Amino acid sequence: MNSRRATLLFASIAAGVILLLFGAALLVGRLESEPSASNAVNRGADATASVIYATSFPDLAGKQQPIAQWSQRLLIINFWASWCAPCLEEVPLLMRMQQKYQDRGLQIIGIAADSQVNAAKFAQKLAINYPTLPDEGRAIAFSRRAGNRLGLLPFSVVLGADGKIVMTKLGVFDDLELETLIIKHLPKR
Amino acid sequence: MLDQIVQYASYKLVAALLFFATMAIGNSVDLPAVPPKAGVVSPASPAINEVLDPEVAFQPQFRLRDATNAEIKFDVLPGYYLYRDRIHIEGMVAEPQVGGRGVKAKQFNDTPQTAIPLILTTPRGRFVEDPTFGRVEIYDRSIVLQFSLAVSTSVSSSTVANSRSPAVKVPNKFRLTSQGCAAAGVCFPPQQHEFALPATVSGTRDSRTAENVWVLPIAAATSLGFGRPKKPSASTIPSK
Repeated sequence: MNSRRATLLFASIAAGVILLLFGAALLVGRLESEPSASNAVNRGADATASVIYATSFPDLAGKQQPIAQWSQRLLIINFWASWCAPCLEEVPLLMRMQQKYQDRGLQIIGIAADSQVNAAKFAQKLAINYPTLPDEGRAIAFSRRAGNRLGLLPFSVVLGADGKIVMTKLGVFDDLELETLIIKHLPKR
Repeated sequence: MLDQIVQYASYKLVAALLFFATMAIGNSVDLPAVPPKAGVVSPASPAINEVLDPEVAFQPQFRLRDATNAEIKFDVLPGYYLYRDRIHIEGMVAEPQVGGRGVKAKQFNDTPQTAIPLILTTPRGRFVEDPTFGRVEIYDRSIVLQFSLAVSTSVSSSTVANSRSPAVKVPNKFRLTSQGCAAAGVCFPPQQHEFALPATVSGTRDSRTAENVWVLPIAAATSLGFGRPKKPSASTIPSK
């Protein structure tokens, strides 16, 4: 092998390695970014997460349930209401995810911008398998604090087991989008 | 021969690395956003993150047709809709009535008030199949609703019958409740708008100038516990 060919070989390998590193860097960047970034209204705000974990909402029996009790889990807080058709459409997907991943550290809760009576009626009708926390007076205002500027529903906040906001979502989750998100952020065992 | 093999191998190596890098770059590009699930209407809908404030999407205005008849106009923008059966109107009487039909209202301010339902005449909407609610009637275009202020005085006749009595209480404003959604797949909380009623109705002045002039609300809120008071209007809009 003469020196010219050795140089060519070395240059080729060097170029390949550089391209490989460049691609790998982009791939890592992709993995570290959040899915549906276009739907992330507000994320990564530790202060907001702290406010969320310091809050309690009443359950269907009227007993206050501190959000902090789910702080070690991947927590999806779904804001919904009985007058919101897209919200009700989304519930079966949330129920499936709760059923499938609850043993692996997922907890979904539904904060209803509804009266206790209405929320209870729909929770029973839909057989919701995760906690329903109705608070007609506070739900929308609370979701605004988490980034839901117009108070639209459905709106969800996803908090990791590390206590940080993973993402917020305005509108209905797509099935694949939600399951991918859950799998990615389930607590490490 | 060995040189040819080395040269060939180096080309293959570079090609393979290029392919891998290209795949990685391709993978890093954002995939097309998953389209939102369809709402009950799907004209030129705004993207879900471009949904407008309900004050813009469903701007209500009021005008007095004569001393006892009035209209509400909703300018519904494309891509938004209101539910016909979720539009209500109530006359606001300044003090709670004993034994009346009214119910004590949530307050926009500190003045005790009683809300008396008014009869609203609404036009036919468009029927659509909603996956959740079934067949529903919506307004996805601008509409005009009519109501009679006379109803409010007869409803509260126990105190209003004698209009010359200093004890007379008549609605001095009314409150409109509505609820709608964006076709992009999100819904607004029930909205409430409060309008000042021209004093012609109570007979304290004859303000013809108030008739046929579209007026914006004096206050807006949701019915879910928080309000966004507006400044008293400089908000009259010339009649179209």
